[in-house]
Amino acid sequence: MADIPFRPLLWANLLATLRNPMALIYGWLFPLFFLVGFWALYGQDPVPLALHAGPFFTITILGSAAFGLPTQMVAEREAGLWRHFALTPAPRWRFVAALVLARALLLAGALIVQHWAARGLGMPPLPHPVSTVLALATASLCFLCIGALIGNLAPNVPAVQALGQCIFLPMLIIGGVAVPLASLPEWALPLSNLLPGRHAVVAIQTAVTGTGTRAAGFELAALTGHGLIALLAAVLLFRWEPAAPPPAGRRGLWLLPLLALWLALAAVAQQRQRSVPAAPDTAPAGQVADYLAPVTSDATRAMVAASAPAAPPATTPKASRPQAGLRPAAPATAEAPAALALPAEPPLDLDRIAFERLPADAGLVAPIAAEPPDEALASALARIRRQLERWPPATAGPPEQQVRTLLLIAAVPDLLQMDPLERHLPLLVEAELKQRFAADVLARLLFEAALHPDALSVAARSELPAIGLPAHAGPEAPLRGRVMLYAFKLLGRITGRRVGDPPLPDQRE
Amino acid sequence: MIAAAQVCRSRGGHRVVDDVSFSVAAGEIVGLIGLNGAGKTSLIDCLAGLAAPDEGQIRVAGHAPGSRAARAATGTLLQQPGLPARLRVAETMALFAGLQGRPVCPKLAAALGLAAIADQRVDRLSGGQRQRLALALALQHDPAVILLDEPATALDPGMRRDLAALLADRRAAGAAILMATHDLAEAASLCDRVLVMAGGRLLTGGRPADLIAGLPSKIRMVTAQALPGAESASIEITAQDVAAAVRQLLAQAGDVPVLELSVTSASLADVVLAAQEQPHG
Repeated sequence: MADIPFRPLLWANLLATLRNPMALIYGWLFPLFFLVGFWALYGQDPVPLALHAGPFFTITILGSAAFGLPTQMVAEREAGLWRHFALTPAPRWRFVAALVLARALLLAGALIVQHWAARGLGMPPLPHPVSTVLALATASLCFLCIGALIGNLAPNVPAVQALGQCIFLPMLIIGGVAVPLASLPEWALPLSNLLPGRHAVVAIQTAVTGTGTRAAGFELAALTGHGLIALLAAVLLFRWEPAAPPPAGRRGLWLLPLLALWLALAAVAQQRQRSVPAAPDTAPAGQVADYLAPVTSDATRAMVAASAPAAPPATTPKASRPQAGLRPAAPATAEAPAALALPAEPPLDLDRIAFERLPADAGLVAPIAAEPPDEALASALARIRRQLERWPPATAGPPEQQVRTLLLIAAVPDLLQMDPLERHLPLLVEAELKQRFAADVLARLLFEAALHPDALSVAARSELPAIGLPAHAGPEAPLRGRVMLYAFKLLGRITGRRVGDPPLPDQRE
Repeated sequence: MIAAAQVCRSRGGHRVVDDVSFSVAAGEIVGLIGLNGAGKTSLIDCLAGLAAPDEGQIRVAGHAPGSRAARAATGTLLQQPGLPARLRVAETMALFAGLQGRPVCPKLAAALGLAAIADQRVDRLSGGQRQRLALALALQHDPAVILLDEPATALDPGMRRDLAALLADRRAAGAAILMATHDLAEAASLCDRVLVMAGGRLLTGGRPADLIAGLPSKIRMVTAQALPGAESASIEITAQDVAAAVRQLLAQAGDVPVLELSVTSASLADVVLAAQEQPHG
């Protein structure tokens, strides 16, 4: 018997899909609508779209895999095309494989288009392209398997829509895809573990604004598990005929252990309590004056006078009111100049800095870890440290510029909420700074960086991918604010003025 | 080439193929005829490997139906052939030829009038054009066994004639052809044998001429006036021995002028209806 090539089948499927206007509208155009929707909602974030890459990529995958694939499967089966294929001597699995592969290629194309559209709307370059591709591929395969299951459960096309909605809507609303898990009520969190959407969002988000594959190991494994369970169920329910009785006897009984496996997977996810990621961190960093004690001497008056505003004065942290004797803060411009001249050097007066007003190290804004990193995190940190040694921006310019550039390594991941990496990077930066500068010099440099957040350049923010961190795009002001906070915090740490969070009011004597 | 022994198949608690046994030899065209719901399509599904019989045995070109070897040796035209709607005619032929591991057969495409519509998309074809394409897909790999379910559906008279010639050529080349059809004239002229099905059972079978010969012919005589004992001037009888019956009618007419005398031979339709009326169970 002659060998039956696979390529004609794949090509035929691709041709048929590309000639289907509805497939193109749902597969390629809708994701762009979603993207624009996300951009309209979150375009003013400190980093446009990057913090929402997980949700919008997941929605694209969901639409194409959980709706597009089963609709095509059921439509072809209803039309008798599968029966016709079954008459040929080609191995029958090839028809389904070609169909799924064609859909996967269409989906890959949609994701590429969506990625470049997101870049056009301001999303920074991917820091971990390989991890991102792995996360997208794993999520895509998982949802394609779920789509294949729906295609074998549904007797006709309207039933696909009904079944698809039964999966799509819960995944969007209580599955952590469209509504962030942090916004969900307690009762919804265990339910979200039953659906793979949250794992897809976390895996993709970790690749786009996190440390990559290792940090999302559980999510990738969970997606693979969900996909395998769905695939096995789809194989058990597979049929060539439009209408066929459900599998009976031993074949039907196999569905029960699969159901148990699915519940067990959800239980493991729940057990790990990787439940609620932090709420979006868009809080303003405040202004320099917010972290300075009242003026008591000429020296500090001079110091304050030399300081510049750091962030828009829309809201200020609690207990930070304009101080008597301080120069009123001028509003910061959205796009600060790339490199501002450094004002005259003020005298170093640590007593003047209200370290206790800085955001808590355990909080959302400018966090610093109190615990040692786990194994995966330590590996990521070590890698960044190694890459940092060969990172040209770290040694470019005068010491004042170098300090600012190194502070970006803490500030950008903080803005991008790269938990847990964001909490450990300030310590890495601290170690790097200590290695490069003598303590007194470093104190002076950090003091200067804290007081003049708008000075000098933050252009190195676009070169962070070279050390495995996401780039930062968009307005500089939020970034300069975080640089200021970390400069204050590290200054407190190296001078012993502030190591860790101050005790809570009820813990004080 | 096709051998079925005591094949039974049930669907929805109803036996749609019941204890059917027959064979089709190489170089033979066998027609499968019967009223709607007789079980013809269900039997072809079993032979094509699309449905598994509950009981009995089937061999197609020496292989179990549905096996890769059987599928490679068989060309099947389904009653409602599913076609890839968004492919063009030429692309569809190339796809199915590829799936059979064979090159496209331009000669067959031309014979079925497909060359002129090679660039048309399948979802824009007429019913007859779709049927021609489906026939081409069933025949283009030159199969040893051909299973056809209603091949003449939607075909115009010219294409029916061409199809008959095509099948005759395949028979001459040694193919075994089983053809379920409602076109009894076509079956009578083309088939070497016919099998008559009703209620899932195979009721009778044989050469069309023999089956027809086994049924009485209709003889109608119209006289100038009603004959003694007759209600009207028109007499209609059925008789196996036509000559004897005509002689008897003429003798009965005597001196009364005969205005019309006609003999209508039985047809395969009569064979089907007669078989249907036979008690079976």
